[in-house]
Amino acid sequence: MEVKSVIGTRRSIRFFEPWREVEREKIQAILEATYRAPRMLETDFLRIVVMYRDRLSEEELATLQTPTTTAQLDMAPVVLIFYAESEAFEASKLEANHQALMDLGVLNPSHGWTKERYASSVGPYLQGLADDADRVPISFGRDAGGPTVSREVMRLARTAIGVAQTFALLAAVDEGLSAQLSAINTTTVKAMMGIPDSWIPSSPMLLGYHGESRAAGGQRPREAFEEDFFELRYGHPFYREPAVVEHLRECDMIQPGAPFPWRMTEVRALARKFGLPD
Amino acid sequence: MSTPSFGNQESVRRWFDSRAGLWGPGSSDDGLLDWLEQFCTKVERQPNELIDECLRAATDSDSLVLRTRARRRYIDAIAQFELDNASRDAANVVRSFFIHNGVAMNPTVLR
Repeated sequence: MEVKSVIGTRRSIRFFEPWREVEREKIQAILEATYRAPRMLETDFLRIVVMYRDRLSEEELATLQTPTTTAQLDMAPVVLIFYAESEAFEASKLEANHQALMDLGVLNPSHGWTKERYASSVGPYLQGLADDADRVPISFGRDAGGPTVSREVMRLARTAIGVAQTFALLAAVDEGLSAQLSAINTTTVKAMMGIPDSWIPSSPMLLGYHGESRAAGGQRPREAFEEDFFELRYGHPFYREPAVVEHLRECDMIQPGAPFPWRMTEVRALARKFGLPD
Repeated sequence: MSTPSFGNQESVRRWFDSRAGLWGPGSSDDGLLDWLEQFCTKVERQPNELIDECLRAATDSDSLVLRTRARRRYIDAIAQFELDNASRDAANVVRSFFIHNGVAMNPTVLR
Protein backbone atom coordinates (compact mmCIF):
# COMPACT_ATOMS: atom_id res chain seq x y z
CA MET A 1 0.00 0.00 0.00
CA GLU A 2 1.03 3.59 -0.47
CA VAL A 3 1.94 5.28 2.78
CA LYS A 4 -0.83 7.87 2.53
CA SER A 5 -3.39 5.14 2.05
CA VAL A 6 -1.97 3.21 5.01
CA ILE A 7 -2.34 6.27 7.22
CA GLY A 8 -5.88 6.88 6.00
CA THR A 9 -6.97 3.25 6.32
CA ARG A 10 -5.74 2.71 9.88
CA ARG A 11 -8.49 2.48 12.50
CA SER A 12 -8.62 1.30 16.06
CA ILE A 13 -10.26 -2.03 15.35
CA ARG A 14 -12.27 -3.60 18.19
CA PHE A 15 -13.75 -6.61 16.43
CA PHE A 16 -11.22 -9.15 15.16
CA GLU A 17 -11.78 -12.51 13.51
CA PRO A 18 -10.97 -14.60 16.58
CA TRP A 19 -10.43 -17.82 14.64
CA ARG A 20 -7.94 -16.48 12.14
CA GLU A 21 -4.28 -16.72 13.13
CA VAL A 22 -1.77 -14.09 12.13
CA GLU A 23 1.07 -15.39 9.98
CA ARG A 24 4.39 -15.31 11.80
CA GLU A 25 6.10 -13.52 8.93
CA LYS A 26 3.63 -10.67 9.24
CA ILE A 27 4.40 -10.34 12.93
CA GLN A 28 8.08 -10.26 12.10
CA ALA A 29 7.49 -7.56 9.47
CA ILE A 30 5.83 -5.42 12.14
CA LEU A 31 8.70 -5.99 14.57
CA GLU A 32 11.16 -5.13 11.80
CA ALA A 33 9.30 -1.84 11.26
CA THR A 34 9.53 -0.90 14.93
CA TYR A 35 13.21 -1.90 14.87
CA ARG A 36 13.69 0.94 12.40
CA ALA A 37 11.67 3.53 14.28
CA PRO A 38 13.45 6.71 15.35
CA ARG A 39 15.29 6.45 18.66
CA MET A 40 15.40 9.11 21.35
CA LEU A 41 18.97 10.29 22.00
CA GLU A 42 20.22 7.23 20.10
CA THR A 43 18.90 4.96 22.84
CA ASP A 44 17.65 1.43 22.20
CA PHE A 45 14.76 1.74 24.63
CA LEU A 46 12.31 -0.47 22.79
CA ARG A 47 11.37 -3.98 23.92
CA ILE A 48 8.38 -5.96 22.63
CA VAL A 49 7.03 -9.28 23.81
CA VAL A 50 4.74 -11.14 21.39
CA MET A 51 1.92 -12.92 23.14
CA TYR A 52 -0.32 -15.50 21.46
CA ARG A 53 -3.82 -15.69 22.89
CA ASP A 54 -4.27 -19.37 22.12
CA ARG A 55 -1.18 -20.32 24.12
CA LEU A 56 -2.77 -18.89 27.26
CA SER A 57 -5.17 -20.78 29.47
CA GLU A 58 -8.65 -19.34 30.00
CA GLU A 59 -7.60 -18.38 33.51
CA GLU A 60 -4.47 -16.60 32.29
CA LEU A 61 -6.43 -14.73 29.64
CA ALA A 62 -9.02 -13.66 32.21
CA THR A 63 -6.38 -12.21 34.51
CA LEU A 64 -5.01 -10.02 31.72
CA GLN A 65 -8.29 -8.27 31.14
CA THR A 66 -9.34 -4.86 32.36
CA PRO A 67 -13.08 -4.06 32.68
CA THR A 68 -13.35 -2.69 29.15
CA THR A 69 -10.92 -4.86 27.20
CA THR A 70 -12.43 -8.31 27.65
CA ALA A 71 -13.94 -8.65 24.21
CA GLN A 72 -10.97 -7.31 22.29
CA LEU A 73 -8.50 -9.51 24.14
CA ASP A 74 -10.71 -12.51 23.50
CA MET A 75 -10.86 -11.75 19.81
CA ALA A 76 -7.30 -10.69 19.00
CA PRO A 77 -5.09 -13.73 18.38
CA VAL A 78 -1.87 -11.77 18.94
CA VAL A 79 -0.87 -9.07 21.40
CA LEU A 80 2.34 -7.08 21.09
CA ILE A 81 3.32 -5.80 24.50
CA PHE A 82 5.48 -2.69 24.36
CA TYR A 83 8.09 -1.74 26.92
CA ALA A 84 11.04 0.59 27.26
CA GLU A 85 14.18 -0.71 28.94
CA SER A 86 15.06 2.13 31.30
CA GLU A 87 18.60 0.86 31.71
CA ALA A 88 19.22 1.24 27.97
CA PHE A 89 19.91 4.91 28.59
CA GLU A 90 23.02 3.93 30.55
CA ALA A 91 24.51 2.38 27.44
CA SER A 92 23.43 5.12 25.07
CA LYS A 93 25.11 7.89 27.03
CA LEU A 94 28.49 6.17 26.86
CA GLU A 95 31.15 7.85 24.81
CA ALA A 96 31.63 4.68 22.77
CA ASN A 97 28.04 4.87 21.53
CA HIS A 98 28.50 8.41 20.30
CA GLN A 99 31.94 7.68 18.87
CA ALA A 100 30.41 4.85 16.84
CA LEU A 101 27.78 7.19 15.44
CA MET A 102 30.49 9.72 14.58
CA ASP A 103 32.47 6.98 12.82
CA LEU A 104 29.34 6.14 10.79
CA GLY A 105 28.90 9.77 9.73
CA VAL A 106 25.64 10.08 11.62
CA LEU A 107 26.87 12.66 14.12
CA ASN A 108 29.19 15.03 12.27
CA PRO A 109 31.38 18.07 12.88
CA SER A 110 29.09 20.01 10.53
CA HIS A 111 26.58 19.87 13.38
CA GLY A 112 29.12 20.38 16.15
CA TRP A 113 29.82 16.75 17.00
CA THR A 114 33.37 15.92 18.06
CA LYS A 115 34.96 13.66 20.64
CA GLU A 116 35.95 16.73 22.61
CA ARG A 117 32.41 18.05 22.66
CA TYR A 118 31.14 14.76 23.99
CA ALA A 119 33.69 14.82 26.81
CA SER A 120 33.16 18.45 27.75
CA SER A 121 29.40 18.89 27.49
CA VAL A 122 27.31 16.09 25.96
CA GLY A 123 28.46 13.33 28.28
CA PRO A 124 27.93 15.36 31.45
CA TYR A 125 24.54 16.56 30.14
CA LEU A 126 23.34 13.00 29.51
CA GLN A 127 24.67 11.90 32.88
CA GLY A 128 22.70 14.76 34.42
CA LEU A 129 19.52 13.51 32.78
CA ALA A 130 20.05 10.05 34.21
CA ASP A 131 20.95 11.26 37.68
CA ASP A 132 18.28 13.96 37.99
CA ALA A 133 16.73 13.87 41.46
CA ASP A 134 13.25 14.42 39.97
CA ARG A 135 12.32 10.75 39.69
CA VAL A 136 9.20 8.73 38.94
CA PRO A 137 8.40 5.06 39.52
CA ILE A 138 8.85 2.73 36.56
CA SER A 139 5.58 0.98 37.33
CA PHE A 140 2.35 2.33 38.70
CA GLY A 141 -0.60 0.88 40.55
CA ARG A 142 0.08 -2.33 42.39
CA ASP A 143 3.69 -2.45 41.13
CA ALA A 144 4.56 1.03 42.39
CA GLY A 145 7.30 1.26 44.96
CA GLY A 146 9.91 -0.47 42.81
CA PRO A 147 12.75 1.10 40.87
CA THR A 148 12.59 4.71 39.76
CA VAL A 149 13.90 6.58 36.75
CA SER A 150 14.49 10.28 36.16
CA ARG A 151 11.45 12.07 34.79
CA GLU A 152 13.39 13.11 31.70
CA VAL A 153 14.47 9.55 30.90
CA MET A 154 10.86 8.44 31.41
CA ARG A 155 9.76 11.09 28.91
CA LEU A 156 12.31 9.90 26.37
CA ALA A 157 11.34 6.27 26.93
CA ARG A 158 7.63 6.91 26.53
CA THR A 159 8.26 8.93 23.38
CA ALA A 160 10.29 6.04 22.00
CA ILE A 161 7.46 3.63 22.69
CA GLY A 162 4.90 5.96 21.10
CA VAL A 163 6.93 6.30 17.93
CA ALA A 164 7.44 2.54 17.75
CA GLN A 165 3.73 1.91 18.30
CA THR A 166 2.96 4.23 15.41
CA PHE A 167 5.35 2.31 13.15
CA ALA A 168 3.77 -0.95 14.30
CA LEU A 169 0.22 0.23 13.65
CA LEU A 170 1.05 1.39 10.15
CA ALA A 171 3.05 -1.74 9.37
CA ALA A 172 0.09 -3.84 10.51
CA VAL A 173 -2.24 -2.06 8.11
CA ASP A 174 0.29 -2.47 5.33
CA GLU A 175 0.34 -6.22 6.03
CA GLY A 176 -3.45 -6.36 5.62
CA LEU A 177 -3.98 -6.70 9.35
CA SER A 178 -5.83 -4.58 11.84
CA ALA A 179 -4.75 -3.39 15.24
CA GLN A 180 -5.66 -1.39 18.27
CA LEU A 181 -3.65 0.09 21.12
CA SER A 182 -5.54 -1.17 24.12
CA ALA A 183 -5.08 -1.87 27.81
CA ILE A 184 -3.94 -4.91 29.70
CA ASN A 185 -3.22 -5.84 33.28
CA THR A 186 0.49 -5.04 33.29
CA THR A 187 1.01 -6.50 36.75
CA THR A 188 -0.20 -9.89 35.57
CA VAL A 189 1.80 -9.71 32.35
CA LYS A 190 4.95 -8.84 34.30
CA ALA A 191 4.63 -11.92 36.47
CA MET A 192 3.45 -14.19 33.65
CA MET A 193 6.20 -13.30 31.21
CA GLY A 194 9.11 -12.63 33.51
CA ILE A 195 9.37 -8.97 32.62
CA PRO A 196 12.37 -7.28 34.29
CA ASP A 197 11.73 -4.59 36.91
CA SER A 198 13.59 -2.05 34.76
CA TRP A 199 11.15 -2.31 31.85
CA ILE A 200 8.66 0.55 31.57
CA PRO A 201 5.24 -0.79 30.53
CA SER A 202 2.95 0.77 27.95
CA SER A 203 -0.21 0.09 26.00
CA PRO A 204 -0.27 -3.29 24.24
CA MET A 205 -1.20 -3.57 20.58
CA LEU A 206 -3.92 -6.05 19.73
CA LEU A 207 -3.35 -7.61 16.34
CA GLY A 208 -5.44 -9.71 14.02
CA TYR A 209 -7.64 -9.72 10.95
CA HIS A 210 -10.52 -7.30 11.15
CA GLY A 211 -13.86 -8.80 12.12
CA GLU A 212 -15.70 -5.57 11.43
CA SER A 213 -15.47 -3.79 8.11
CA ARG A 214 -12.03 -2.33 7.70
CA ALA A 215 -13.50 1.16 7.47
CA ALA A 216 -15.00 0.51 10.90
CA GLY A 217 -17.69 3.08 10.42
CA GLY A 218 -15.48 5.73 8.85
CA GLN A 219 -12.63 7.97 9.90
CA ARG A 220 -13.14 9.27 13.40
CA PRO A 221 -14.09 12.89 13.96
CA ARG A 222 -11.35 15.26 15.00
CA GLU A 223 -11.33 18.83 16.22
CA ALA A 224 -11.24 21.40 13.46
CA PHE A 225 -7.82 21.35 11.77
CA GLU A 226 -7.41 25.04 12.52
CA GLU A 227 -7.80 24.44 16.25
CA ASP A 228 -4.77 22.16 16.37
CA PHE A 229 -2.24 23.52 13.88
CA PHE A 230 -0.68 26.97 13.80
CA GLU A 231 1.62 29.03 11.69
CA LEU A 232 4.09 31.61 12.92
CA ARG A 233 2.49 31.87 16.34
CA TYR A 234 -0.10 30.29 18.55
CA GLY A 235 -3.58 31.45 17.65
CA HIS A 236 -2.83 31.93 13.96
CA PRO A 237 -4.23 28.81 12.29
CA PHE A 238 -2.25 27.01 9.62
CA TYR A 239 -4.17 27.68 6.41
CA ARG A 240 -5.70 24.46 5.14
CA GLU A 241 -5.41 24.57 1.37
CA PRO A 242 -8.49 22.87 -0.17
CA ALA A 243 -6.49 21.58 -3.15
CA VAL A 244 -4.19 19.68 -0.78
CA VAL A 245 -7.18 18.24 1.02
CA GLU A 246 -8.58 17.09 -2.30
CA HIS A 247 -5.25 15.52 -3.29
CA LEU A 248 -5.09 13.62 0.00
CA ARG A 249 -8.65 12.46 -0.56
CA GLU A 250 -7.62 11.06 -3.92
CA CYS A 251 -4.66 9.34 -2.21
CA ASP A 252 -6.96 7.75 0.37
CA MET A 253 -5.39 9.52 3.32
CA ILE A 254 -8.61 11.40 3.87
CA GLN A 255 -11.50 8.94 3.73
CA PRO A 256 -15.25 9.24 4.39
CA GLY A 257 -15.85 10.16 7.99
CA ALA A 258 -17.92 8.50 10.66
CA PRO A 259 -20.67 7.73 11.10
CA PHE A 260 -21.61 5.61 8.13
CA PRO A 261 -25.41 5.33 7.97
CA TRP A 262 -25.25 1.58 8.49
CA ARG A 263 -22.69 1.58 11.27
CA MET A 264 -25.02 0.89 14.19
CA THR A 265 -26.63 -1.95 12.27
CA GLU A 266 -23.17 -3.39 11.71
CA VAL A 267 -22.24 -3.03 15.38
CA ARG A 268 -25.38 -4.78 16.53
CA ALA A 269 -24.93 -7.57 14.03
CA LEU A 270 -21.33 -8.04 15.17
CA ALA A 271 -22.43 -8.21 18.80
CA ARG A 272 -24.86 -10.99 17.91
CA LYS A 273 -22.31 -12.78 15.77
CA PHE A 274 -19.82 -12.94 18.61
CA GLY A 275 -22.37 -13.51 21.38
CA LEU A 276 -21.80 -10.13 22.98
CA PRO A 277 -24.43 -8.04 24.75
CA ASP A 278 -26.00 -4.95 23.24
CA MET B 1 -45.45 -10.67 34.08
CA SER B 2 -43.28 -8.02 35.60
CA THR B 3 -44.61 -5.87 38.37
CA PRO B 4 -44.84 -2.13 37.65
CA SER B 5 -42.52 -1.34 40.52
CA PHE B 6 -39.85 -3.60 39.07
CA GLY B 7 -40.00 -2.05 35.62
CA ASN B 8 -40.18 1.48 36.95
CA GLN B 9 -37.01 1.34 38.95
CA GLU B 10 -34.51 4.00 37.99
CA SER B 11 -31.89 1.53 36.80
CA VAL B 12 -34.43 -0.22 34.55
CA ARG B 13 -35.65 3.05 33.07
CA ARG B 14 -32.05 4.10 32.46
CA TRP B 15 -31.40 0.79 30.71
CA PHE B 16 -34.40 1.11 28.43
CA ASP B 17 -33.77 4.80 27.69
CA SER B 18 -30.12 4.11 26.84
CA ARG B 19 -31.00 1.20 24.57
CA ALA B 20 -33.67 3.22 22.82
CA GLY B 21 -31.22 6.07 22.30
CA LEU B 22 -28.64 3.72 20.84
CA TRP B 23 -30.68 1.20 18.88
CA GLY B 24 -33.89 3.12 18.31
CA PRO B 25 -37.43 2.89 19.63
CA GLY B 26 -38.76 -0.60 20.08
CA SER B 27 -35.36 -2.01 21.00
CA SER B 28 -36.64 -2.87 24.45
CA ASP B 29 -39.58 -5.09 25.25
CA ASP B 30 -41.09 -7.21 27.96
CA GLY B 31 -38.88 -10.13 26.98
CA LEU B 32 -35.89 -8.26 28.29
CA LEU B 33 -37.63 -7.43 31.52
CA ASP B 34 -38.64 -11.03 32.08
CA TRP B 35 -35.04 -12.25 31.86
CA LEU B 36 -33.85 -9.52 34.19
CA GLU B 37 -36.58 -10.37 36.66
CA GLN B 38 -35.58 -14.03 36.60
CA PHE B 39 -32.00 -13.08 37.33
CA CYS B 40 -33.04 -10.75 40.13
CA THR B 41 -35.09 -13.52 41.68
CA LYS B 42 -32.12 -15.86 41.47
CA VAL B 43 -29.72 -13.48 43.20
CA GLU B 44 -32.43 -12.06 45.49
CA ARG B 45 -31.82 -8.45 44.58
CA GLN B 46 -33.82 -5.62 43.04
CA PRO B 47 -32.40 -3.99 39.89
CA ASN B 48 -31.36 -0.81 41.69
CA GLU B 49 -29.62 -2.89 44.32
CA LEU B 50 -27.53 -4.66 41.68
CA ILE B 51 -26.17 -1.38 40.37
CA ASP B 52 -25.73 0.18 43.81
CA GLU B 53 -23.64 -2.79 44.82
CA CYS B 54 -21.33 -2.34 41.83
CA LEU B 55 -20.98 1.43 41.86
CA ARG B 56 -20.32 3.58 44.89
CA ALA B 57 -20.26 7.37 45.05
CA ALA B 58 -16.75 8.82 45.08
CA THR B 59 -15.90 10.74 48.22
CA ASP B 60 -14.20 13.63 46.43
CA SER B 61 -16.40 14.15 43.37
CA ASP B 62 -19.81 13.47 41.84
CA SER B 63 -18.53 10.44 39.96
CA LEU B 64 -19.09 6.77 40.68
CA VAL B 65 -16.40 4.25 41.47
CA LEU B 66 -16.56 0.63 40.31
CA ARG B 67 -16.56 -1.97 43.04
CA THR B 68 -14.53 -4.68 41.38
CA ARG B 69 -15.43 -7.49 43.77
CA ALA B 70 -19.16 -6.89 43.39
CA ARG B 71 -18.75 -6.70 39.62
CA ARG B 72 -16.79 -9.96 39.62
CA ARG B 73 -19.48 -11.60 41.74
CA TYR B 74 -22.17 -10.68 39.22
CA ILE B 75 -20.00 -11.65 36.25
CA ASP B 76 -19.87 -15.13 37.78
CA ALA B 77 -23.58 -15.11 38.65
CA ILE B 78 -24.51 -14.20 35.09
CA ALA B 79 -22.23 -16.92 33.72
CA GLN B 80 -24.07 -19.41 35.93
CA PHE B 81 -27.42 -17.93 34.81
CA GLU B 82 -26.30 -18.57 31.22
CA LEU B 83 -25.53 -22.19 32.02
CA ASP B 84 -28.77 -22.72 33.96
CA ASN B 85 -30.85 -21.41 31.08
CA ALA B 86 -28.59 -22.72 28.33
CA SER B 87 -28.96 -19.33 26.75
CA ARG B 88 -26.30 -16.78 25.88
CA ASP B 89 -29.11 -14.42 24.85
CA ALA B 90 -30.72 -14.56 28.29
CA ALA B 91 -27.41 -13.82 30.00
CA ASN B 92 -26.66 -11.02 27.56
CA VAL B 93 -29.93 -9.35 28.50
CA VAL B 94 -28.67 -9.14 32.08
CA ARG B 95 -25.23 -8.00 30.94
CA SER B 96 -26.91 -5.32 28.84
CA PHE B 97 -28.72 -4.09 31.96
CA PHE B 98 -25.42 -3.71 33.82
CA ILE B 99 -23.61 -2.13 30.86
CA HIS B 100 -26.23 0.51 30.22
CA ASN B 101 -26.05 1.40 33.90
CA GLY B 102 -22.31 1.98 33.69
CA VAL B 103 -20.93 -1.39 34.76
CA ALA B 104 -18.76 -2.85 31.99
CA MET B 105 -19.47 -6.52 31.52
CA ASN B 106 -18.36 -8.77 28.67
CA PRO B 107 -18.72 -12.49 28.28
CA THR B 108 -16.12 -14.49 26.46
CA VAL B 109 -16.45 -14.18 22.72
CA LEU B 110 -18.16 -17.00 20.84
CA ARG B 111 -15.75 -18.42 18.30
